[in-house]
Amino acid sequence: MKSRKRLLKILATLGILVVAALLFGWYKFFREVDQPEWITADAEKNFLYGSIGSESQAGIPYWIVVVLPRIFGDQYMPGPGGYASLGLPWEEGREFPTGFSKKTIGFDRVAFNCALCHSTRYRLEENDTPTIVAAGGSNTADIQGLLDFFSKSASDPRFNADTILTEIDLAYRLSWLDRLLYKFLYIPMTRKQLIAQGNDFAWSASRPRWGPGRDAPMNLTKFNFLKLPDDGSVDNTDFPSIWHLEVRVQPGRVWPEEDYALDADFHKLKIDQSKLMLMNLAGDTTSFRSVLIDSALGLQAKNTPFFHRRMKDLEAWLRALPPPAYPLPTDSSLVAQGKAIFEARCADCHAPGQANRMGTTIPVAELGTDPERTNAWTREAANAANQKVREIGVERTPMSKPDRAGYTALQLDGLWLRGPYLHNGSVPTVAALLERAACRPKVFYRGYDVLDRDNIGFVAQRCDAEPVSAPDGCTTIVSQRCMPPDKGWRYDTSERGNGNGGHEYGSDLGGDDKRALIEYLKTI
Amino acid sequence: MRRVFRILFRLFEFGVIVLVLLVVVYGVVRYNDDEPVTYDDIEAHFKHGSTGGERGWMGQFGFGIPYWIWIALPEQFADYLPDGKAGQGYASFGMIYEDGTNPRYDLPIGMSMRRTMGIDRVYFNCALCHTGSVRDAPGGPRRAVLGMPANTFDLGALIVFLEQAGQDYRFQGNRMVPEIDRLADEREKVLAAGKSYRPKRFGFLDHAVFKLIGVSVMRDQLLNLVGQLAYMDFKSWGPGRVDTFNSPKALLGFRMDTAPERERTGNADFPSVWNQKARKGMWLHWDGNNCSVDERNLSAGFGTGATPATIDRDKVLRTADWLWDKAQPIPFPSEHIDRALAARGEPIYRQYCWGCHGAAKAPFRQVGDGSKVGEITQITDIGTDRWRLDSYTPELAQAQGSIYAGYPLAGDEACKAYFENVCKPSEGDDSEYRALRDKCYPSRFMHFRKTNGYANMPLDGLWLRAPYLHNGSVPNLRELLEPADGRSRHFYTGYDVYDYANVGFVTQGPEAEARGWSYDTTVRGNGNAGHEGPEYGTLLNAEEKSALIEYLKTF
Repeated sequence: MKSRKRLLKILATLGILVVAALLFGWYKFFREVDQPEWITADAEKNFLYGSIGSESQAGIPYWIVVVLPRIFGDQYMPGPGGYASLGLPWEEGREFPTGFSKKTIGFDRVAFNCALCHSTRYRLEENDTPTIVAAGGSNTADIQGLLDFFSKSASDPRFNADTILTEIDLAYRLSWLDRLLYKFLYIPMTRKQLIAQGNDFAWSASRPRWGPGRDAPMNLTKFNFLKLPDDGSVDNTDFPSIWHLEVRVQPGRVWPEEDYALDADFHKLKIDQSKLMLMNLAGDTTSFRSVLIDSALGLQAKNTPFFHRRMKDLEAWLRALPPPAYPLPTDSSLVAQGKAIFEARCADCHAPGQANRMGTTIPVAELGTDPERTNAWTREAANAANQKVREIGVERTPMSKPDRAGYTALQLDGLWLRGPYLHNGSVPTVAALLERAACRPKVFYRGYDVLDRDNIGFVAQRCDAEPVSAPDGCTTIVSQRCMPPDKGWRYDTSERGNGNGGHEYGSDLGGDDKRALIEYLKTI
Repeated sequence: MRRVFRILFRLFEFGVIVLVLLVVVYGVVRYNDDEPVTYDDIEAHFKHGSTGGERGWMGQFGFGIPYWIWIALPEQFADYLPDGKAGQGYASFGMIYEDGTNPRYDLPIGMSMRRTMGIDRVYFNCALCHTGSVRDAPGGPRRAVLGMPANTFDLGALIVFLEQAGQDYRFQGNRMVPEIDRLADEREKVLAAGKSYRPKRFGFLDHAVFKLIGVSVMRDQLLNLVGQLAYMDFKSWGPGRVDTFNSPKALLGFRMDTAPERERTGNADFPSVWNQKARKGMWLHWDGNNCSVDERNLSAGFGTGATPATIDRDKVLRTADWLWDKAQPIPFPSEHIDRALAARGEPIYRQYCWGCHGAAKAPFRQVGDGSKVGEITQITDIGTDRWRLDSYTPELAQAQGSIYAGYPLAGDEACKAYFENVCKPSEGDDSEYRALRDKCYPSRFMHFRKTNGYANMPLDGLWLRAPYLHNGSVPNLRELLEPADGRSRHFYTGYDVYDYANVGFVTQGPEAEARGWSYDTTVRGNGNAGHEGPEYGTLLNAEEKSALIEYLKTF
């Protein structure tokens, strides 16, 4: 009798302890707290700083994100400035750059969201405070540099609990419990994850650098997300703008997601592919939502109801979001002249709202631009991607690859903020694009965010550059401004994937016509 | 017999356990003590109160230098002192030892002491850079003025001294501890009977610990700190100046080897710190990069070693409250003011200067009065040396948003009102601000901005704030009213005898040369151009200038 009672007592105590441990575990590791209202109540702030649901899988413990640049900044950052030195747009007064999302799931974590690659920064003058535009394609962010920073720091012998906690001790008084958790759990786990992430990106070390404003989207998908074997392809591509998605809805088009079952493969459906609206620079998908979902999954968002709500809200917001207006005055008569030229020469591929080639892929043989990006993606890879997404449990319109490999003829809204140009950012300004390929600069500098207001795009030359005279038969393109000698990243068009040939349309126009066309293009 | 042994053995065991416990308890208690020297008198608190900078937290040792090492350094390494003479503490760096104190054993103004980790340690406080000195005549009595820029103090030279001492092989336990013993002996002899010092001389334990390891640890810490700041040229600062914003770059782990030249020198005068209430909401720091007096104080507080983890909040706020509206400059000696002439200067000031610099006394501006006090004048307009402006980079402004991360402890939601209030100008009744500050101080830095000019400052206590312009490149007001080519190209700073006629310190002559520091305006960062032209009064005639200068004496 006595031993029975004793047994019950022990079981009861154990039971209480287990429940206490579970509660504690939930509180410290799983309890989700909504982000503050200034983020969640404003669609733009939500885009810049809001969670897309990746904190639980890919969130880095908050204090590690805060102090890592203070420990390793002088070794593994490219210049003075912590995260700012990577060109990440950063509103003054905020704790982190755009694209960093801080959320409490048990403990505070920081993960990345769409804005990391899709917020553009510009200035009119060197001394201006930069303006940050949400849903642009980032022109300054050195994402490869950010990834390198994390993986090099994690591989450094100083990435250990002692060093990191000592640095945190300068900044904050962690509770003894949080100290223990950081010491025995968060720091070792983060180290492992960041090293693994670094290994996942090992394929990028042997390829041309992305540089600011670019990444390797299809290779990321193939090698990181899908774990396909390295096929040696190079696909460095500018981050695109994603505002005003609605403009891509062309009349007379088929929209599989709306018109067919969600899992319909447009190859199997035998649709006239010229009737599809293709997204991604090489036409790899047909659905806004798919692109958003796939990109978010690539950031390790977790498939939860929150995620789906967020994707829906994002899609709605991005479809409606107007492109940014050009911030300087334009000459209205020149604009009118330019509009006529645009309609005659460019509208067939670039005018929205018409039954034209916009939103279809233009074959490489016709377009003549660098083929590496489109060659990097295959139907097999698309199938693998679709399979993986299905396994994750997400339903979305499948990716594919059009029969004729090429590049999508894009809408040009907000063109003034989308430099440099062509899919690989190999042409610094629209004025240069209106020249024949042989006339375009072979080397220039990107990542500087002051507008080149004469030529559309960003200032792409350093102030100490030797003046280069244009080859015979070429116009010398002059910019009023230049960048200080320590700014900008050197873009070499002879590197693989960086070819600046092709799309020589309009190069035959006279100088006045080009100027008018440029003036018009500032306003679209 | 065996029984006796057993009892004895038990007693022995017991004794050992008790001894071990006592040692452990002693160690824990001693290591965890935290006992600053405190002061009832507010001025004494400003001069010597601790900001918390001495102490450490967990893995951080803290910045505090053991008192005895601080005392021993200028004795043991006298050859590295500016004048090579031991026996006067750190006076040769322009640190101020008050009358009745002994520079060898007492702390100068601007240093505090706190017993932490079992040792009495000393470090800097606000008064170090914000207490100056003024004299009527060579050899005359000195007046230490609290809140005034530390015009005589050469912080850069002090850092160089500490670095040289740290790199010297003589900085080790078995050389320094005997020196400390000797000084402790001397201290007993020179003290007036009955005066007791804190701390006492080394006890047996401290003696052993310091000899074996304490001195080496200190050396390590010193070299580590100074090494991280090695990208700065401390020798270029001179008395009364510091490279303000290049220092925090080290704190944030900025990679300075790839920093462009134009960001690397930002030498600027220490400012005055009176009348913070009237400055609330103005753009502060020479380049106007922050509108929050609280962030300004906390940012400067890092210079005293006070980090978010170690700051002694109550003591710092006590100082802040005094600087709010109580600390005041001493007035310009009346006997050197021609009141009638000054009266003629008032309308000239009103016409030419008031628009940027506001009223003579707090409050310096009223909302809607049309003045631009506390606003920024673009560099292209003011035309002064731009090195300080360029040293404060957009990246630094952005990265400073992470300082004091995790604060306010009350939470961002609860402190929204504080964030908005802190940059609004003061009302007469500041109780709302104080209540908010009580709840929300300290807070994460949210108000640093990159600007493109220098801020228009109020001119309270102007006479004590020479030399002029942000980099101290113009010796006195008379020269400031001359165009740049009429200003001295070279002069001497750090000499505290005053030149009442020209309103500035004496900067020329054999005395200034002997005791001062050579200021060369052609060295980078020291340019003396700018703040000139018709709007700046440099084209007024001699009579008008004299009247204006006379009026400025009354500020």
